[in-house]
Amino acid sequence: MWQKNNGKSETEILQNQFTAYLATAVQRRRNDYIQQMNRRQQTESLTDGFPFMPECSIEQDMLLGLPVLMQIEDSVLFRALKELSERERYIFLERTLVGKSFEMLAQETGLGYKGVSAVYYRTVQKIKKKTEVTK
Amino acid sequence: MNFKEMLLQAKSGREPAVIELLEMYKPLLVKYAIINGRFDEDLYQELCISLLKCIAQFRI
Repeated sequence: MWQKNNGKSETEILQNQFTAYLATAVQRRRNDYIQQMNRRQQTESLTDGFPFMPECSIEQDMLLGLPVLMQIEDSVLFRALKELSERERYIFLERTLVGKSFEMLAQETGLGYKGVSAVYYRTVQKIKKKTEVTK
Repeated sequence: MNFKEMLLQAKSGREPAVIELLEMYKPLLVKYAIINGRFDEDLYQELCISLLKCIAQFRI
């Protein structure tokens, strides 16, 4: 535990001077940083509060329970996702968007760990192929 | 080793002295790195850089 010294000897005076010097510099840097942060927050728009627009959806039935798909603007990707089977789509979206691990998905779907990862990587390949062909 | 020696050594670029100063002033830096009650790691990093600059620029 460091304490403020009583500033009697030469080196103690020097230390106090340095501490004051440092505190000023640090305080200024902090103010700059807070200002930068505020400016960044003003110019950047957050994507978290993306509005939920059911009337804009294309196929209501497949979107049930999958509101994430409504936010997809890329029609090629949208079509590729639509052509997947229910299980592939579920695993792919939960893995990429929710960030669930293969273990969790394996428990949920009743597949093994390897099964889930195989489905996932196959799905990624499928989507890649489809989006490449149509672009 | 008193403070003056330590500072002089740190100014001349001797790493152990710099590390000791950094350890010594860590509580101060942590105190200033807290924004709205939350510790900001990026700011802490910036303040560590400030400390290094201060060591280099402080005139004894």
